[in-house]
Amino acid sequence: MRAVTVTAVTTGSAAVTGLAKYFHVARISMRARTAYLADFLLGSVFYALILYVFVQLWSVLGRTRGFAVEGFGPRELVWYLMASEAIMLGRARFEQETDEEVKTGAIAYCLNKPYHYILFKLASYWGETALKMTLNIVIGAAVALAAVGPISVRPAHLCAVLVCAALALTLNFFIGMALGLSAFWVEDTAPFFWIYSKVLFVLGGLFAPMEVYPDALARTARATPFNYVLYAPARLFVQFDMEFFLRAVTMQVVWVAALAFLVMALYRMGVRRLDVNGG
Amino acid sequence: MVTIDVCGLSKVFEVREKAPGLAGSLRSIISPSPREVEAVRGISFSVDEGEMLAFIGPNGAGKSTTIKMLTGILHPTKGRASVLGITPWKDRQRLASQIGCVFGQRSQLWYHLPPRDTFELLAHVYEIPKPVYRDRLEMLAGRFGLGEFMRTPVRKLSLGQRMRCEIAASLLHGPRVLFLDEPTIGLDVVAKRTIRELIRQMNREEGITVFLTSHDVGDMEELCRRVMIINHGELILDTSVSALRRDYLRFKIVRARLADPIDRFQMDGVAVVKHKQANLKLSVDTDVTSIDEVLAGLMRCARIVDITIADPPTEQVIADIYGRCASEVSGVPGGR
Repeated sequence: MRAVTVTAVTTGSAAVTGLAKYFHVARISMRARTAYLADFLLGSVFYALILYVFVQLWSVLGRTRGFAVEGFGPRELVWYLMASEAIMLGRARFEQETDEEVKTGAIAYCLNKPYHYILFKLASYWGETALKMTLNIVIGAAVALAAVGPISVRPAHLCAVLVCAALALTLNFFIGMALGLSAFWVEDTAPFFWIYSKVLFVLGGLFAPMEVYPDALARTARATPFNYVLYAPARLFVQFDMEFFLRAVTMQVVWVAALAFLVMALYRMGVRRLDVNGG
Repeated sequence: MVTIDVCGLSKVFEVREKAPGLAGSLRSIISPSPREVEAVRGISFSVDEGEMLAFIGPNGAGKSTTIKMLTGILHPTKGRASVLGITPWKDRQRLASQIGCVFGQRSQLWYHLPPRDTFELLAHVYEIPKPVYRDRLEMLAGRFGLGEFMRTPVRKLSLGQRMRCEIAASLLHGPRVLFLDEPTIGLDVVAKRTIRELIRQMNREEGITVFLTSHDVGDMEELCRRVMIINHGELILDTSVSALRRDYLRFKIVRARLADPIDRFQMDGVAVVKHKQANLKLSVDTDVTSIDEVLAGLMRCARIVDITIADPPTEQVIADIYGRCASEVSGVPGGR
């Protein structure tokens, strides 16, 4: 009889090795996403189609009424939509999966591994999202370019927009995770996801920036976290302004922190009341 | 050295009940009527290092709930447990790196990717150094015969191949305890035999403690020396497999389909459970008559078209244990 010891990595700091595993989770999630390449590419065709429809709409609006609100003409609106839809359709849809894992008890089988479930899901979400987003941006930029011509963006601003977009997607993750974990207490969370996606349409500013909204609606939207998921990064992409960037990023960090705290609390409470009877 | 120590472990689930129909649904919202289900009732036992223990019982007996508490997935309602000196539900992550788990009805493999990708991910998750991982994977791939399908997506593997991958994945980080929850469920006879042989080999060579739950008596007979039987959440028997075999498993169920109908079949130690023309179901007491003799007897009556020999179902074994306990208490000579 021989005891086998497979020692853990000792080089480098524990925190780095601890986080490295999540990087590999993201990588495998990315790989799994491309297992069905045709399905994956088809999703982006849908994105291009939506973009095409709105390009037509904004172009007509621009031609007939000389439409322009606070610097948003048809060209800006098309590029805005390109950015907001790239985020909207680039988000990995993990919420329903979390709901299923909680309801069926499958979450239990993720608990006996040396990783944190929430971080595992975040890494997996980021792996898939990064891939979808990249493809969406390439396709979206091509459609927008062909339809309305280029928009001027400075490389430094683009980096800032990417930071804002990354925070936006992280915020979306924590909102989705909070909704998914509510399955510990409610029978069906699907309506929550439906409402959330519709809220993103309006309060998130999916189709048009807040500048186009009536004042009351714009004020309401700005008071919620949803405008930091779509509007903030898309608006920065089209009209960069340092003051807006700093305010948006600060608010995104605050919302991410608050929702992460909520998600961790829900997770801890949920796991304690986890009921998985039988196999 | 004691590896698993359990004392008075209980788990009570709350099940929400709902009357049928719309009115029932509305009533359940206004005044929910939760019902408590005692899945595990104050069980106590210990398992030594390197031991292979079978934890068997029928569906819903509390086997999986116990294994989930021992792996830290579920919090018990009462009692205490320690695995490798760690309280599972309090220090789940620390325990996770020292144990391996296989849940027969759940997969840890990434469905759309080849097993190799999952192995690679697990190496990072368990923080196994690269050279160690390479050697370990090579050893496991050789032993479990994974080479031929290492690069085939999991969704294209047979159940037996998948289970071999599942067990190899759970052994990758060199766990000291292996929890196997129904590892042979749904497998054919050949695949079952392969899995059992592999588990036996890993126990022999690496001294891994194996805690196996199953409702397949064959798993227990072929793998373990000790068996615990659980029913309705209570431990009803903790004995050696040989004692169980001697006392309860000497009966075999023989189902035969003969070429021609026969009037009757009679033999010492053989009870005819069912007889319909050419179909027979027999209960054979192997202490009195061997299976060979029964087959010879059947062949003398008619040509055998089809035959199966099986252990009595776990439910039957449990009924026998209860029957024996009751007769011992009442002083009535018992047995079958």
